[in-house]
Amino acid sequence: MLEVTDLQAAYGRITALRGVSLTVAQGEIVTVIGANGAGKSTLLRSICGMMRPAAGSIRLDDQSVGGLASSDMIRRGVVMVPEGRHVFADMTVAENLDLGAYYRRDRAGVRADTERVLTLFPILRERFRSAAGRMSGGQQQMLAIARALMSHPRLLLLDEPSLGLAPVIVAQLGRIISDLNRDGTTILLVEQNARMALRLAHRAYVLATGLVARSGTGQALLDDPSVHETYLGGAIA
Amino acid sequence: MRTLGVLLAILLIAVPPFMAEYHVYLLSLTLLWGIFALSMGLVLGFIGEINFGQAAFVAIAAYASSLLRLKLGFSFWSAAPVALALVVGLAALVGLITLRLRGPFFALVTLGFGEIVRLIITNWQDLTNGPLGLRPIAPPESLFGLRFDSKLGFYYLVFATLCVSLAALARLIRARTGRMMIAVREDEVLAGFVGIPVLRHKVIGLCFSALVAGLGGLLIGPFLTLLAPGQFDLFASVDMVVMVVVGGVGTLAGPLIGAVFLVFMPEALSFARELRPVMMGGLLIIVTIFLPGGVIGLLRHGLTRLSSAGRGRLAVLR
Repeated sequence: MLEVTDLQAAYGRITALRGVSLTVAQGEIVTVIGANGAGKSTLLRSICGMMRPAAGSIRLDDQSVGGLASSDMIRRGVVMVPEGRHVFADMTVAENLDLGAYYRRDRAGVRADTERVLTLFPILRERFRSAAGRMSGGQQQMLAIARALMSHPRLLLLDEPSLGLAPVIVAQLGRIISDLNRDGTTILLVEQNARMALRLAHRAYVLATGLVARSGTGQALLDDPSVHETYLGGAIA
Repeated sequence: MRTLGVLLAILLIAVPPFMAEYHVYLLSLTLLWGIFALSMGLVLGFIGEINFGQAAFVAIAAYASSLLRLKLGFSFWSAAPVALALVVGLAALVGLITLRLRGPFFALVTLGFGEIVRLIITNWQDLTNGPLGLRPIAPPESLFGLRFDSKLGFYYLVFATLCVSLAALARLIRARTGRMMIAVREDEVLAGFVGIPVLRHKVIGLCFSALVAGLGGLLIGPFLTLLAPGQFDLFASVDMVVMVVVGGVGTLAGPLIGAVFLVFMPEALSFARELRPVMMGGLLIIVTIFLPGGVIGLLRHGLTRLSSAGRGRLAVLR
């Protein structure tokens, strides 16, 4: 479905990606783990059209999509949930969800998707008419994901969804990600919470200083001693 | 709020025939500035930028329509769409170039744009008659039996233009495009992630703003019977900014309230013209520090406090 080849990206003079290649097949959960500054967010931003890659190719269903704007990518079914529970704080939950589906013209489909995300995140139904900024961090993260789902994506890019959330909420989030995937959404997940991410993922990549350091199935990386030491804290017990 | 608006509109229609000519003139001037302030309000409140070149949009519409009438024999009504199309086209061009810029750069570039337009008007003497200005500019020809050659008739034309602009902008804000624009203003980066074409919505906003400014510009020539480049200097744009800020940013009624405060009151009291820029600056500082919501914010705050106080009392009674 998604094929990234030798992708390079930079912020001015600072190179963030130095030639990253990865693939995501239809129906998979693929995770990318790595330390701060390894280039994980840059990778997602380049894929969803928020950042123009300096070199390399991004192909979606065998079509080149590198350098397209985010408004084009969302129409092709690729959407990103940015890091840090970004919501339109002064707008209501309903308005936030509405914006997620802004480009769609199929009203019936939008209504069905609204119902779907409200069932998935019951808390959003309770807070439907209240300002998004007044909700807790976990609720805002749910809203950010729900808003992305309103575009009915085929490929969902999640950037550190568990960051700063309580363990109970993180577990809930993990279940929701699996559920979404079971319903047919392909997911590319970037995480610092490597343990959760690797358990969820079919396959995983380890990114270090802008390069893919290691890749394999989630379980294989969980069992890999070096990964364990660097990203999971301490040796395998 | 709505009933208040309707009541005010009825007053603005019914009372002027009984007013002295000077006061009708003053009211027209206020409403005309209300139109300009409204156009600036869209830029400030819904794109989240300051346009120091707004007066240039007014000037271009004013000069284009007046020149078409004086030199090519157009009527006011046939010149209007041409002049408006010109202004909107230029706004799109300026927007596509400048709205990519972040932070203070948009304001700076529009400052330059405004000055360039003013200098062209001043120096292209063959066409514009330079600093001496164009005159006399006749009132609009009568249309559907309505006459605009009296102060009162012209007043109603200004009033109608304001109403049309207000209705159009109210509609725009409630429409899909308007909601996108608000999303872009709230959080430009997030709007990008949501897939909203950020630049496009800013440019659309600027075009609408220029359209309203242009509508006002069509009227200013016939209203003053002359056009001169000095009317469209930087201070004209700054005045619009002050009106919006004083009235309340991000609302449609705010700019109109600001126009009343800054045009009607000083004229009615008619003191110290030379001190006007200083007073404007002072007012801007005071409002920004002490009243960030403007007059509208103050009213809203007062209403909520009143109503919550009232509710409290009821609760006690129960």
